[in-house]
Amino acid sequence: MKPKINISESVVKRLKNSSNSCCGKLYGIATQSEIVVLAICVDQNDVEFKNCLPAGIDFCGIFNIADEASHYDPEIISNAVFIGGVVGKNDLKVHIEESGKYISTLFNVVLEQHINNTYFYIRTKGHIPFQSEFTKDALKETFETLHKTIPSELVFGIFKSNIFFSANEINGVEDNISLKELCEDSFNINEDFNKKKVTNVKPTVIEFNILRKLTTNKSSELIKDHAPIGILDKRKLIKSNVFIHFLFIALLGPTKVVNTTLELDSLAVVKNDIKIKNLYNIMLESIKRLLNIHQAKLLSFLKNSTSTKSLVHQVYHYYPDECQHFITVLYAKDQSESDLKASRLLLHKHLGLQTNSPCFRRSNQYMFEKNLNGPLINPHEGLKPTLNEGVVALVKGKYEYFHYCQNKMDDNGWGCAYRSLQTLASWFKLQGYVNREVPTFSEIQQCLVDIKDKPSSFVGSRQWIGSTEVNFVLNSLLGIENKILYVSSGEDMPSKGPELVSHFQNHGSPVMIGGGVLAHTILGVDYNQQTGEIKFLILDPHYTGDEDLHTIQSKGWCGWKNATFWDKNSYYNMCLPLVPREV
Amino acid sequence: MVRTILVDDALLQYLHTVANDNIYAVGLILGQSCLSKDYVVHFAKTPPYQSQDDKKSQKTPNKPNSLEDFNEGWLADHARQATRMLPGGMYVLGIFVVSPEDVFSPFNTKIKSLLHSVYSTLNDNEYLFGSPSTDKLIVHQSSKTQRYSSRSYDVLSRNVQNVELKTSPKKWISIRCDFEINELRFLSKNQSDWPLEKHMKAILNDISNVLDSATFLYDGEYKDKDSTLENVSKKKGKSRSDKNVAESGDASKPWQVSVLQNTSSSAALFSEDSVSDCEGNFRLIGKVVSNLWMQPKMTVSEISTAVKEDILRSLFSRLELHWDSLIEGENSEDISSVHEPPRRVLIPLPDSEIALSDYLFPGEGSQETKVSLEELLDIKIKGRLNINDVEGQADIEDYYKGASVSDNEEISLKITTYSNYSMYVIGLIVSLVVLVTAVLFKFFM
Repeated sequence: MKPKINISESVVKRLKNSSNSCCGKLYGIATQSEIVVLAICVDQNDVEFKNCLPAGIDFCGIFNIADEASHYDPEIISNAVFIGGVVGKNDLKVHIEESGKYISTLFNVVLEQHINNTYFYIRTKGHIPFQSEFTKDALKETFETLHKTIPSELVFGIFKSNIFFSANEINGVEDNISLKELCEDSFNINEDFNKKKVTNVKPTVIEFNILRKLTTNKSSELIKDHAPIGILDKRKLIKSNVFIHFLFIALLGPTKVVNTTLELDSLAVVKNDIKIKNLYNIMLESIKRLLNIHQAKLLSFLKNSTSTKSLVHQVYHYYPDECQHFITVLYAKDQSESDLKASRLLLHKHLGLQTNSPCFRRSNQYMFEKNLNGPLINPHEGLKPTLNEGVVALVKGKYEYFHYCQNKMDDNGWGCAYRSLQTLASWFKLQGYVNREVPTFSEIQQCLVDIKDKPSSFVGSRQWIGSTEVNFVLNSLLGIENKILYVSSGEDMPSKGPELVSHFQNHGSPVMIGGGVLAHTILGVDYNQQTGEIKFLILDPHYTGDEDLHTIQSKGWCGWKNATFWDKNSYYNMCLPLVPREV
Repeated sequence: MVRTILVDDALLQYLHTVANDNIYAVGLILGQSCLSKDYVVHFAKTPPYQSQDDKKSQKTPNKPNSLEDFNEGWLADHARQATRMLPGGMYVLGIFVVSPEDVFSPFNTKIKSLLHSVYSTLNDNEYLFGSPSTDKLIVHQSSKTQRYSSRSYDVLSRNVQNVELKTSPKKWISIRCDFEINELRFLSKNQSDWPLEKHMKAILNDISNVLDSATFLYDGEYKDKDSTLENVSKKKGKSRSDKNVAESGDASKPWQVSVLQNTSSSAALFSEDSVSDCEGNFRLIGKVVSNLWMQPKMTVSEISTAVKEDILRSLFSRLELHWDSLIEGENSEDISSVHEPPRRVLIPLPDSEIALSDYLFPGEGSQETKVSLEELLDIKIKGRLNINDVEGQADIEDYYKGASVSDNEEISLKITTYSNYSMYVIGLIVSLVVLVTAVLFKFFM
């Protein structure tokens, strides 16, 4: 029997919407009974791409999106999936290899929620010392040795627990339970686990620490079984002939060695009913993939050691909304975002992503740990959709919810526009467009004094600001250009529907709106062209409570509002931050 | 609570014999302290003092005629050498003194000075872990009345206290740990002239740092640091018999310790990341086998500390023995060489489950061990001595040959190419070309 084919919604979308002809590889999780296609790489020849995907996701087929319906001979690969399509046709044909031919087959589209309810991610973190002679061959050999030694040396401990996974055994818990049972049993492992049970849209990640076993029970093959001995290998060469010695130093250069620590922080994806005794090998595989990326980075550092000074590479995990799977990337410590532009562009291209907004800047990285004391991130996520049946255009990416009375400051009654401004600034920070923290109240006031908009007594006062000031501050402190929209009455707000839809579709930044004495943040609109009905997704900065998502959503501090939300007796100004088109 | 020294009849008998044979004698008290009880495992009479000249002339040492005849340095050195032989968790707890006169009222000043000397020598090196406590025991056995009495003396506060001495059987929990070392150090230009001792000490520091932040597992299980193995061993006994009767019916089977290095702690990281010139490398490779005996009341964190101390003490002791044995020049020789420090062997104490360590150089055997047992522990073995060669001797040939097939293939290839004559010639020609070009460049630019 041939396996069932499931394709992630995000893959289907990207292939259908492709505006150019392209071909490449498919990656997914394949078992006897099903193949789940989760990722694409728009490059048929790239062999390294697999390494930046979580372990467990492997090559599973190829795709070809042609300019027009023409004959295409896909390479026959056993058990592979082949997806064919035509640019602009919005139709995909899925095939599976059977006895040397691709046979047309049906497929299901799977949603992110389903994927994240079926699969869990395993994150493995630690460090590994790395010492090698600094030549191509020696580096390769050292990595090979690492690949050989880690299976016997590494032990994985579940974060904040006494459960340890080693090559042959699991200590601290029975080894014939499933991962899901482990998570349910040990509440401590993942405190969110039980709360999250209802709607699990975001991936579930279980963290492990990497430990190195320094002791044996049996003698291992790699370390010879004997009392310690010391081997001194000195390269003092031919002492009798100093001239020759220096000559060789001059010709070949002294031997270079590298001493560094490789950051290990790898991901694997597993079905949540996997028996935990099977986890060790997949964690090892995830580390091996990361080591492969490290190897490639060190080798390229060796080739042109002048372009980057730092040989230390840091691990970043991304979970772009349009991909719905993790991507792991290494960036050299001293490389600036602009240095990395080319490699980011390549990633966008490989993944079939738009190149008008950044996904792989450092600040775009996936946040595994929630900052418990800081502002909430994207509190609108998980809200029920409206029944307006219009075009829904929402803020893209991440923002922080700033509201009254945060960081022990009582701004109740006057600080709402400041808070809305902070939410806008946080969006630019988290998207990676600006490299500065969210401005504080006094920074905002000082800025308005500096540009001579306000007298110097303004600093430290409790005077409120409006959309014009928000525009000035965003422009001066963050270098952001804004578009100002004006309505003379709240009743006219629906007329701005098309413009707002276009803003969220093209720019995707949150919008500050001020009217009367109130300021709000608009996070999105649902605009029905036929009926002219419009709903606004509002983030209200007047909330004075704790960072409690449940209250915020259920009491409407973040929620969908009708057009009547706006006061017909007051005029409104909207500040729409414009976003640079770049990656 | 009064401190209590716990001994057994054989140990008392030994003191008695020493007091019968000598009018004046001193020796070491070896054992373990746990919850204000001192569990003595051995008394070792210090051999009579011999100066270097005496040794050369093979003069039989004089019998001491008063306590004043005992040499502080000699006793302290005995304590240092005996400590090397002790498993982790055991120490030189104090000294015993045999004399006809009373020494405690008033407290004899010579004894104080002997204790101060022992204390400072044992604390001389951080990796010997010689003397964790400043409170030292003194057992006095009268050579006139054959009565014994005991005190404790704090070398810092100079406080003297009464101590009880009791006979009582002792139970021990046995611990085993096989610690692997595979440390590689690349030598930078200035480091390559370091004496061997300095390289080895740098590695000791590294290992010590790693052990400080390590996690210790007992038979694979994580144990709470304040628990004792005594409590869990009951449970363990059950589960063991439930699971696997045939395999581990033996309750006295030692607890196997696993040491896990936390790879995110700072000890696991290099202090700096660098690409640098290298003039060689030094590798320490092999395993240290630890066998410890701990009181059942000891907490898991105390046991883990003892394991750590045992690894470092054993490694330090053998390295020290090794570099002391090197003749002038060998310590900083310029050529590649393989160094084989003496290896640890275990010798069971008579009438006890506890074993002490001896360090055997290549080629040495039970004969040498017999000598050190007699000299340092006053144990005379008649007939065959069973030594337990737990670590095993390295086949050095592997490493001499191995130098060309090990992971440093690159390095040794280069070394061999240098001795290749044709390369000299090519090199010479190329250098001349470079020289001529440089000269031309200089003159015509």
